[in-house]
Amino acid sequence: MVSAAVTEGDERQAGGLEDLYERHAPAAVRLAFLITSDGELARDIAQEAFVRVAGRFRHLRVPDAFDIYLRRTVVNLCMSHFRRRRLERAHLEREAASPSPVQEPPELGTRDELRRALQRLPARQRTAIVLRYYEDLPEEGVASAMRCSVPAARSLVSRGMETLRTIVRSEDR
Amino acid sequence: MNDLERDIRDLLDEEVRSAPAPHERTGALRKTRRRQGAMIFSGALVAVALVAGSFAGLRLIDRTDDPTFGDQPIVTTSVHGITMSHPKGWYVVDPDEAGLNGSDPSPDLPKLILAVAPFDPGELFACPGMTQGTPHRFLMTIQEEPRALDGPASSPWPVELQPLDVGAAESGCYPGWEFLRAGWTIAGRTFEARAGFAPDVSDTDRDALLDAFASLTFDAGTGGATSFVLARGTTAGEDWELIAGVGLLPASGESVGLELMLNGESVSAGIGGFQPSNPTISMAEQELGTGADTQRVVFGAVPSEAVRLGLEVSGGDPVAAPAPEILDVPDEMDRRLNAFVFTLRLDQTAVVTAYDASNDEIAYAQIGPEGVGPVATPTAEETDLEDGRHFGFITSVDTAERTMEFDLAYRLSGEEANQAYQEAGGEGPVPNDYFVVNDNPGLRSLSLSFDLRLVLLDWNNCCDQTFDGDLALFAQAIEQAGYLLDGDLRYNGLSSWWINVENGIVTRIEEQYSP
Repeated sequence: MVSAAVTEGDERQAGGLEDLYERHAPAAVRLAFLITSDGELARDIAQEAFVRVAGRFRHLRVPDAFDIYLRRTVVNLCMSHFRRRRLERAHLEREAASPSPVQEPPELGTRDELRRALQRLPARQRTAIVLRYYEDLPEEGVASAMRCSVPAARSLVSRGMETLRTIVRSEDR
Repeated sequence: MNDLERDIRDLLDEEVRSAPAPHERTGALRKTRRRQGAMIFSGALVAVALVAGSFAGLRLIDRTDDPTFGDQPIVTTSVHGITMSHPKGWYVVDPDEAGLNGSDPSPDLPKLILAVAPFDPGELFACPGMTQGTPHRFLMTIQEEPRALDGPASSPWPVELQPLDVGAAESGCYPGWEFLRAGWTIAGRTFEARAGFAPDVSDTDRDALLDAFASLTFDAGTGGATSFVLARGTTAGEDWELIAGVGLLPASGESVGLELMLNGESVSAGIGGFQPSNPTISMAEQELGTGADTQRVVFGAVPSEAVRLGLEVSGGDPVAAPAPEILDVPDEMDRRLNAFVFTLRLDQTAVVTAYDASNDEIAYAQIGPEGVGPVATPTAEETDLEDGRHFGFITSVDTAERTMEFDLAYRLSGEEANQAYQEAGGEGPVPNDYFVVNDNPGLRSLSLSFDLRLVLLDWNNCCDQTFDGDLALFAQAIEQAGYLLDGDLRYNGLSSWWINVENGIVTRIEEQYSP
């Protein structure tokens, strides 16, 4: 999880950017991977997030909150990715002038059903659930990372959970 | 913790074991150092895309030979309405062409509009510390900003460059460099210049750059200022600006009235679509800071008839709550509205009331610990709607109860629309070939399906593309009777809607495009 805090002093004393990268990049990749389910994309997003946040390190008013800024940026980049992908998909569907063939999921056990259900959630709901149950953030933390209000974060988590319940129940039948 | 929550935690812990290792660090660190360098010259509010190869557009701007300063031939260069006299051979760069403002420069301010260096610095323009061979010894950039109505940036030209501490002593890009900055307003435009000198810069070069800065002249902006800084502040340690702009539809360029943007260093938030006749004040909030220090900056617009605001704060520890000042929105931007901004702690509730010159209350709103609202909600007179697809207006959404209030209407087109239009007193054919009939003021309270699909227009690609909206943000936009920006996506609380009702429950809400 993205949890270690650093200060500007740490950046100098502990080997500068190299150390900062070693300490924070793996957690950023893991968060991006859980949101996107795409390993290469997660590596790219984590690197870009690090460049953006560390690139303005001296401008951060609260540099010891580096992990919070990094998490926010990872989430933001993931959302941007989904937004672009949605537009591309809409464009391709229009170009093809026919709906894409529906891939029927294979019959799998409960864990795999849950995994597929998680991947089928709307991006913001999935992100909220990853932040809540993987990063173990309180609702305020989820709201901060997703730059939305606490009620909005609470709603995203509860709607995501409700959707997961519905999907898992319907696949159990 | 219930079973599903436990299963999800276990699943995520299992999934994350498949996550790959990060990219090799060398590339990331190289990009980071370039970014650090670029930030020094772009100010805190502009993100500069500085990547290898982005300077393909770097070129000598057309120049006109002119008189000389001493032995050096002096030429005159103009970029984006700024004219500068400088030694021939210096590189003057249009940042849009060079990619300094990103690959798809936006007209929005702030943005870099001029950069100058002693020679072609190649791709490491903004990071001489990484240059192989002889690096450039000085650099100057000029950024155009939202017009400052007061404060240091409103100083009239000419101004002097003053020392600027950017903490560059140990910078990989600018080791030991000295920096200067100045801000000013002239010809209806506001600028900021940043100049940097390497420790071994020659006196001749230094003097030449200062002379070049002093030689600047400025053309008036075309079409008037597009944005103004209404207020600045620092909340929870983070600097912010409240900027007024005019919202434009991306496709048509049509104005949608005043927009307010709160730009902090780490986040930004916006609100627009104000209706001056609405007695509910439209406002938005943005949290700044982290942890226990987090506070909210609340901002919004009030009718221009308002001469003072009242602010009642409750909850949390008692604090002095001076009434927020009414911030004058320039008439050239929107003569119907003015703005306000104030800060609140997370646990506080505030009621804002606007009063006119007769001391009559003309608008109000409440913001609680859980965000803007609640506002006065009309009483539902009818509670059902037959299954099918219906057109109308949504007046409120309760995300906790998963209900909404719906004002049923009829959207007519063709001859029906013409007839209804003429019966309502219109003459000739109805404009835009549609007419909305809303004779019944009654509201219907409808339940929302857990599978509700919220299909909103993507105004960036108007109007054949949509996106799946988030209900909580949608509810906020409806409550504010304005629109919210979620990144580049717009939630328009003033739209009309098509809803699908199945078994008495709303399963789909779709935004109707109206020209």
